[in-house]
Amino acid sequence: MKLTRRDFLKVSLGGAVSLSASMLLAGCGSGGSEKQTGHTKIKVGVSGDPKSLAPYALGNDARKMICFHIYQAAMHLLKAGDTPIPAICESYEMDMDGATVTVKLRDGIHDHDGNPFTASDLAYSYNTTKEVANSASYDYFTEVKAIDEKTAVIYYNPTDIVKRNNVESALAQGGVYMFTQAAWEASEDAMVATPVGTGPYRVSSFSVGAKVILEKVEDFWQAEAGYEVPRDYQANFDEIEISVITEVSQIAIALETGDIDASANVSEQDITLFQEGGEHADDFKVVKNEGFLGYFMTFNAHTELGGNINIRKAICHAVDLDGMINTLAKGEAVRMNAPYGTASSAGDYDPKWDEREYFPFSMDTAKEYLDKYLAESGKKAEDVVVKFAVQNNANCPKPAEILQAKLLELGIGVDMKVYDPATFNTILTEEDSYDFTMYCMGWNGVVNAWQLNDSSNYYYHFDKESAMYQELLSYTEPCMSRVTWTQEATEKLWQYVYDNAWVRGLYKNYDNIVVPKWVNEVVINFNRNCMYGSFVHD
Amino acid sequence: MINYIIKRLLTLIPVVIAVAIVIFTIMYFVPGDPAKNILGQDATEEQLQRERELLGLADPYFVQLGKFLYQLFIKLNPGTSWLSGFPVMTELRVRIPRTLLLSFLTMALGVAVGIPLGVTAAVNQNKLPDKLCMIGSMTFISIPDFWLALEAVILFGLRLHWLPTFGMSSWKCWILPVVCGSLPGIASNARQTRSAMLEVIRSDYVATAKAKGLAPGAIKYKHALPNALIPLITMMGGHLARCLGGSMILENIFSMPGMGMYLTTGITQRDYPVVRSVVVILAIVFGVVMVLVDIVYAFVDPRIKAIYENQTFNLAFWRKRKDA
Repeated sequence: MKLTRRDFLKVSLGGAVSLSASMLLAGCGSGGSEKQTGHTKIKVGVSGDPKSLAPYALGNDARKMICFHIYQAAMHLLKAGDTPIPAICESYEMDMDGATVTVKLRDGIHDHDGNPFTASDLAYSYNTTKEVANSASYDYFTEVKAIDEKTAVIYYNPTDIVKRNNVESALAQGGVYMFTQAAWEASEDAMVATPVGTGPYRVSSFSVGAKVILEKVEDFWQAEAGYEVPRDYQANFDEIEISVITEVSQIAIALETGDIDASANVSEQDITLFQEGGEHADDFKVVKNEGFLGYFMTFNAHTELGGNINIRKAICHAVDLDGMINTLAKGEAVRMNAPYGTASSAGDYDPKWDEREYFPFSMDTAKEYLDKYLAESGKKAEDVVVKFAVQNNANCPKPAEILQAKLLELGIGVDMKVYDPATFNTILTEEDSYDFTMYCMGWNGVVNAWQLNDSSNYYYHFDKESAMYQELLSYTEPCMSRVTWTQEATEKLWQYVYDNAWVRGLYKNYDNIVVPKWVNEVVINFNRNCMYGSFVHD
Repeated sequence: MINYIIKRLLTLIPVVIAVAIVIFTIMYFVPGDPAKNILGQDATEEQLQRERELLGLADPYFVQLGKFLYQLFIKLNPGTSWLSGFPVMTELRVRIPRTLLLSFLTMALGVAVGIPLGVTAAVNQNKLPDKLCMIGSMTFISIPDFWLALEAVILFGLRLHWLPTFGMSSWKCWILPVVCGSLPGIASNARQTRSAMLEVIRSDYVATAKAKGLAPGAIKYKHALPNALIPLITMMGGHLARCLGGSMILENIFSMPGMGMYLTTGITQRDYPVVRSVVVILAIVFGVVMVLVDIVYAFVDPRIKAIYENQTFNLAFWRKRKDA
């Protein structure tokens, strides 16, 4: 049969129409808008794609939030810096000499499929996570062995176990979630889309990159066994529908249109719509929560300008922190008089630092320090150009511009470059590429902050043989070990860092969580994740 | 003809390999440490180094390139995402149909509306319909589609509550992305069709058709349009490529989890297996589309078919000579 040009056009057109129709039908799937029934369900918008719900994967805040609903860790923290409370395990005991942590399991533990959870499952969870994730994140332990049905021993790397906070955070952070060997072996997708955990919610539907629906576990083991369920593991909704909305401005629109009920990812610009006096204040409220990310400036010891104390102090005093906070966060941010904030999970934050004078903004003082540098170096102010590397995120570039203006006002040049976060990480490793930086980071505390200095050393580029570095170590080392740590040691480190102006803490933002008026209480866990399922509501 | 198609498909192989090498090389030199992205800022240098070794980043350039090409083209396995641990192929299997559907619908709407508009404008040259079509086309060509998409979200989602603004849970979710994505295509198709039709409707055979007393509709769609299609088909190939590229913006604006969203998060997080795989797959799709466009030429224009057949003959002749 010969296919004519006209036949071909007809066939093509028909084919195109039917293909469009069939693809459209196929692509639409079985979705459809669902009716909300009472307040047994909460619809949540997240900006990050959780990608995988497997217990071994690392990931973003959205994934962590979902995993905290599905899984439990060995121990639990109510808030950062607290002593761990029982979760899967009743207690833990450290033997720093033997570099081991012995954990005792609670009774009546079972997973969502009803498989009983024993010490060998705990060991299996740890060892499988380490093996499958194949990531240096799990280098802190070598292996875990079950001693009997209720007891297991975690073998730590000796240098890690003495580091403050490493044991507690590792037991509770969720880096290793608990699952049973039986469930793991039965899983066809390594629990990526069909996880079987031990937490108060299970996954009822997972559409990659689009939606996750969690449903309440009716026979949650902790409640069944008669244990008191911590408030962030209480399942107060029958269902949580989590939609991935990558475009942040769309989150506010989704709230306004009723497609979602709550979100912790509303932009600063849109948040006013939901605050008192805002267009949607009748239906929503905004709950503020001190954020996990802190904003800082650090100096590069390797360069002439970054390594000069007078330049460092001149820059630190030229920071108009009130101006920055007003411009960026409408005056609502937590000042950080330390290279870390109150959310420090190491528990070494001292509230009295809040009262202290901390690099007060003064152009006169900044000028004095600059003049000292000019006098000792014999340079003119116009010959001084500082290289300023800025991390490109929602909050750094604007304050950086304010600081740039102040430094120009001092009479020195500023070569400011803004880098995307991944590039910024590389820039920090190049010892000549910047004099000082501005960035944000989720600090765990002074110990971890200065531990960097000891190990990767990539922020400051100290010469490890120098007397200056050895002096710094003499302050940091006592703080890093749980054997030698005291609050006084931390205090001395704070003073040393302040006197030498190696780091200038700036501020922490508040996380704004928009919730409907019918939510009475918002629950945030120790890791700063919204535990939507535990929200108390009408 | 079959020989020609096979030959064209075979030429795709070096093109795809070249794309793979180029994207690998670009990602190799792009600043940003994936190990630091995975482990976070407070990882020690020892941990970072170990992570780099685990990811194969500590190997020399040619070793990494060899492993990548072997994995991709011999084992047909692009590996797993460094950040999620999820196999890239599994994720692509879910995401590719969504992106292709979005691109195909966008292009189909562009063709279905743009071509009749262009024909109408051409047959009514310098009259009101022509002017309206051309003003509309210029407007939609000039407006960036991402801006149009954001405005459409505010109007149809927020103000009028007619359409959902994100996701893909129902057929309604596809309306805004498809319409917003197709408007520039409609505009350029209309302009291109108008100009092609203007050339054709002045041809002798159209004058003959008119003289024979054929109906205007028959002259337009049976005689003139097929002859005006050649430049349009060329443009449609490029249009589909543009739709695939443009879908990345649309997917991000409308939170549609397709390849575009996967690629953009892969780039920002330096998830190399994801970026490399998506780019190579896009290259394959573009290549296949271009081959299809060439094949379609043959069916639309007998002259081109004759050239292809001649090439086929030459190929057969060359083989015979070689055998001899």
